[in-house]
Amino acid sequence: MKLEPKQLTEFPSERQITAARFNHEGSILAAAGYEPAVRRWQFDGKTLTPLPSLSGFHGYSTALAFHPQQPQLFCADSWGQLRCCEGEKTIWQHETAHDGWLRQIAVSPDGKRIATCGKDHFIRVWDATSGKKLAEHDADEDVYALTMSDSITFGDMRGRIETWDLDLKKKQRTFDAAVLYKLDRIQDLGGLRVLRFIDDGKTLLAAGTTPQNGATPQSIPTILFFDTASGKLTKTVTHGTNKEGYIHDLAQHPSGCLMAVSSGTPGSGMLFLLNPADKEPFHVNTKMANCHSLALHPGGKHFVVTSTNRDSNGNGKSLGKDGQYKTNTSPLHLFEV
Amino acid sequence: MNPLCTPRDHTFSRRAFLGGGLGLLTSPLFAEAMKQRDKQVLFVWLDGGMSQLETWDPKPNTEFGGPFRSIPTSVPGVHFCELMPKLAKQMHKLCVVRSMCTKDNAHSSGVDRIQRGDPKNRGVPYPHFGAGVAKLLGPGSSGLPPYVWIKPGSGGFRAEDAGFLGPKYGSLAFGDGKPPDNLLRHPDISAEQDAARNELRQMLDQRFAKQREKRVVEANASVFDMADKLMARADIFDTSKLPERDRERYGRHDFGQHMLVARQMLEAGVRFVKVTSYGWDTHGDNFNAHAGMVPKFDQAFSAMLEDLEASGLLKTTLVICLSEFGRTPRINGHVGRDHWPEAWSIAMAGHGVKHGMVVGETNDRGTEVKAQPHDIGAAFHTWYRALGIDPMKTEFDNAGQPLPIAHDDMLPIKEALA
Amino acid sequence: MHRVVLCLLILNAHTWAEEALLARKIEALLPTKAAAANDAEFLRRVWLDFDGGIPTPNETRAFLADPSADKRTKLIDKLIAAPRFAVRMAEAFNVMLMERRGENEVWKSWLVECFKTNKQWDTMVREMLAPDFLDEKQRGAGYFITRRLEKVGQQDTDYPGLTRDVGRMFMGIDLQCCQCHRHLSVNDYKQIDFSGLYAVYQNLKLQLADDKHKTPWLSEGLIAAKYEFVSVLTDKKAQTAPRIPFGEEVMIPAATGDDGWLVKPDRKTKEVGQPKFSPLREVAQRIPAPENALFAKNIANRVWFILIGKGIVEPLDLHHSENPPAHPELLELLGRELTAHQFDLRWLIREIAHTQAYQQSGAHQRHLTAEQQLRAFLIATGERAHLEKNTKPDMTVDAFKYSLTDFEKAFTAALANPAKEPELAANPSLRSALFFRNSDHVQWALKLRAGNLIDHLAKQTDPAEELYLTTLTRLPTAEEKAELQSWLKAHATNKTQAMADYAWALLSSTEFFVNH
Repeated sequence: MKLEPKQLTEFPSERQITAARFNHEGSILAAAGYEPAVRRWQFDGKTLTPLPSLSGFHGYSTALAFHPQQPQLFCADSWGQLRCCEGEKTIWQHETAHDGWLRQIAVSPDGKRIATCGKDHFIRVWDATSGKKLAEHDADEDVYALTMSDSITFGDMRGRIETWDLDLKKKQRTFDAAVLYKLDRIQDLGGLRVLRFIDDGKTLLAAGTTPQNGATPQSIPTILFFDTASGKLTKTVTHGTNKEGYIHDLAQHPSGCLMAVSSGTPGSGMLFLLNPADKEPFHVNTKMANCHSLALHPGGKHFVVTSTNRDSNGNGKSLGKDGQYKTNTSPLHLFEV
Repeated sequence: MNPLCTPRDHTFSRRAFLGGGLGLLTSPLFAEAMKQRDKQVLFVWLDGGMSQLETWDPKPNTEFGGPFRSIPTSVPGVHFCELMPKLAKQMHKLCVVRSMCTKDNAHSSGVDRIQRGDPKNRGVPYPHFGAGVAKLLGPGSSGLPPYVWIKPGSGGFRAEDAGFLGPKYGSLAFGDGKPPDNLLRHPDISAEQDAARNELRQMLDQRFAKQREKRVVEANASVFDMADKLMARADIFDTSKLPERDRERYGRHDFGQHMLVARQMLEAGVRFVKVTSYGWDTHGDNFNAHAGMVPKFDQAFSAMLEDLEASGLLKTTLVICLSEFGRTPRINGHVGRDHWPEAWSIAMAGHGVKHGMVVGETNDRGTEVKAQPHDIGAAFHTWYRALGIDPMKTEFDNAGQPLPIAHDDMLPIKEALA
Repeated sequence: MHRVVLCLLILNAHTWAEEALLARKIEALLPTKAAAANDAEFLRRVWLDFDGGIPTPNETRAFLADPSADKRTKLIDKLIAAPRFAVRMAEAFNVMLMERRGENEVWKSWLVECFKTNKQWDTMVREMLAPDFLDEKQRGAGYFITRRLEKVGQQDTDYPGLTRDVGRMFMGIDLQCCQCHRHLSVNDYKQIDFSGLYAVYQNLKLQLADDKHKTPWLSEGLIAAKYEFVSVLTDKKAQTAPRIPFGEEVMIPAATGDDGWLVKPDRKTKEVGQPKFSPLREVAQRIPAPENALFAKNIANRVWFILIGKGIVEPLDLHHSENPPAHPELLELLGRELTAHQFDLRWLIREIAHTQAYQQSGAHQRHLTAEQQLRAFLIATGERAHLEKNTKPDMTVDAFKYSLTDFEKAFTAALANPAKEPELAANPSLRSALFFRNSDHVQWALKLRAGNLIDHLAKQTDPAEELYLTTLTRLPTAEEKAELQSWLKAHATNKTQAMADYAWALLSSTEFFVNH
């Protein structure tokens, strides 16, 4: 089946957004970004109406995930805070769930547990209801991404992906995604951004970029397909030129197709739709600049892409029309499928 | 078009020149400089532009501050970005200027302008700081090349660094920390044979000098002598024989090992050692890039400070660390920061500068220097002063044309000088 | 050291060829006390200057033994007539005009051809300044301009640099400082002098080689109005039409728009167009002209520099009234006579070679250029022919691992001055010292190999004489002979190596580095 997404409207946001998600009912959109707060909007099927932000974070808010069946929102920041909220109310909170940058949060399919990973090399598992720490694992490397099935699968800066049963403290499988890593001079280039299971867990996707160079990275968005059972790489999909950079977010539509957004050289961004069986996307939208997240509405009829304003870069002191130093923002693009 | 010199500058220079210039050899100033022969310089160049926000001048928890935390340093009230835990413990040795405000936001011209001190355009290329120091202070008692550059990539003799001072003052570059071509004795020649035939060459030259213009023979002899001295110290670029512990402490990466070579060069008495690390131009993925690179810088630079202090060399060595500019507060769509000459930081340590000092301040968003901004010319004044050279009294001599050694409209950063 | 003290021998035993009239006039102007160079000194100098290398021992012996009074004249004429003369001059002019901006074969062959056919200097300059890129024989001349217009990194095309170099190379005036205002230390140079030339060159565009043009070439835009410039010192505005320094403005024809084109530019056919009025050609006519006295003086001064080692005006590119020639009458004479001889460089070179100023001893010692050192080194070590033949080096066989090109590259890298600077003196550097001391090239050439110097010396009963004649073009003194003997005795265990080491010391010595 080939979907035809159509953009309905665009909503402004005052800050840059790096992650956005809908709650299980699809009534709330929450977003993390370059501020110590989590933004929220009410969604009625047509419009995004701002709700009060969740404040009290530090540095930048970095990751968020909704409970699959309940209203809880799990969110985190770059100083290591992990928080569980219902509406504006904090259910539980750890000020230093990680030592510094907490990169991603994953929720188990049954919603009972959540897992987090961070720059401090740790993967930690928490009880979703109480916030109690259930297990932890030192991966000995900056952990960039993770996802949860029955077990936990995480990937680090060097493209090492492993599946662990953390209760038994046992490694179950290894996936080699070393192509997503490169050392350029003294810069470690970690290309992994997203881990997702599809086909009921039979296939693991590792998405991001195949790094070419440091400093000002230029590389092509990449998705690696792994056979979960054997750990073998079955397919590599790349799309776009080396301007397109990283896949920053990826979701599977209920119809089965994959939806990914990318961001590279300032100004370039893509939304592309791909059937898992194909090597080329069937739909590519390059109208949005630097897309960092894609929030799929639970019904599958809508989704939101957060991009970046055009002219987001520039050397020296760029002043806006108001004479103030320019700030970038992330327009929210509401799509209908 | 060139920005230009004015007639007033020339009159001023001419007058000042009469007291210095060719008379330099006999002036009290030169005598002063002679006393300073042991002064050395370590110049760490982070090419492309290190982010001040992820290093010396963090603005945690602000719009442009990035994801990182700041940490206290050994000087109360002074914070660094969390990516520099080791240097934070050494802040009491450092002098950080957070009020740099320079002009050029392009690499192509910025690298050159900053390293040449961005003097007023006199229609001639100005020497890099290292070449200026080599010219003004000479090789010192070690007899080794006065201006050595350790860098990734290719090495060789870099005449262009010297500008109008002439190729003699250019840098001798150790590409990938390795010696320049032909530094090592040819494998087919034994040490005895090499020494014997070189002695023979000297003898032939001495006889030739008796019948001919001395100048010609001396020019030849001096370069062969320097070659001899450098060959005799071939150990200084070889880190393989150093204790594992040292190699580990500096970090097993290009920059760490190059800093280790630099330490050996300083210990051997090289006047000016420049170490370059490339790849700091993080227009994309700035935070992950700095998360990876800054700790490597932190490790090597702090190990160097520790070692220079332990050996006592920090007392006589001026340490400088900078880029051609900092990086924009604004974060672009590629999660990068762009070029930012407006409000950035440099760090110094060692001889002639204050220790445990922070000079200047940027506003809360890091978008502007509060109070007095400092251009690179002021930094050059500061560095020359720290080395005991007064830029108001000393000039370069460009084939008879007197030229100031640092921007003639600028003054040293007083707060930074010891 | 702007003033050159030129000396000349009053009593001279040599007879001059009848036609050497200029030489006599030069001598009349130059009184001197210095002794004439002895035969060996003269021989080496003349070889280095006109061949670019040094004579073989047999050539040296023959010359030293020749009792005839006119042997110097005969040698000069022989060397100037030899094919090497054109190559050596091409090398010298390449370094002078391009200042080590990199090698280019088409340009190099144009230069060689010019000197082979003794093309007049004014013709050469016209070909360089308004190159005909469609003429196979001339297109090499275009490199003078095209190379200078190549972009370097992100920098702007260096039109000011090209403008400056046209003034420096062909009129001996460095106008750089008058780009933005009057020259601050040279009263003669005005901003209009720079601007008049700049107006011409900023109008050029570098085009890539295509089917029609086999090398990069130039296209010229329309010039319909005068070029405006402003002094940043006084804010005074002024304008000029294309104009050579100190000359008259070239009238800009009234034609505008499409009327201005001889061939109209056309995007579709990628025709860049050709204007009817070509300031490039106008300037190329006006600079190399008898009326332009600086044109003749500049080249006379530069040729004098190549042969004598000092300019009559120094720096070579700073002719102006406050920097008078060391010998004004001499420069005047050379310029005038060269103009009268239709800018015949071979004639001028020959005349200067015949003067006592050229043939005097010692005074103008200078280091050899990279090209001279290479040739002298290869002749001395006896490896030149071997390398020339070995066009496809084989790294696995020691004897065949290098080609002549490899040696050219290595010697240039070690000995040439940096790019874009006048190569007035080849100064010894740490780089050159390390090269001679440790490089494999030098080491390789001194290995025992059939037919080379070391092989040859091994077969001599008196190797000292052969060694000194080969390397230094002179006989050893008794003391030097004894020294070699005792060296060989002290290192008797490995005689070949001892000989190679002695040869190395001579080849690395200052005496080998300088012309005599």
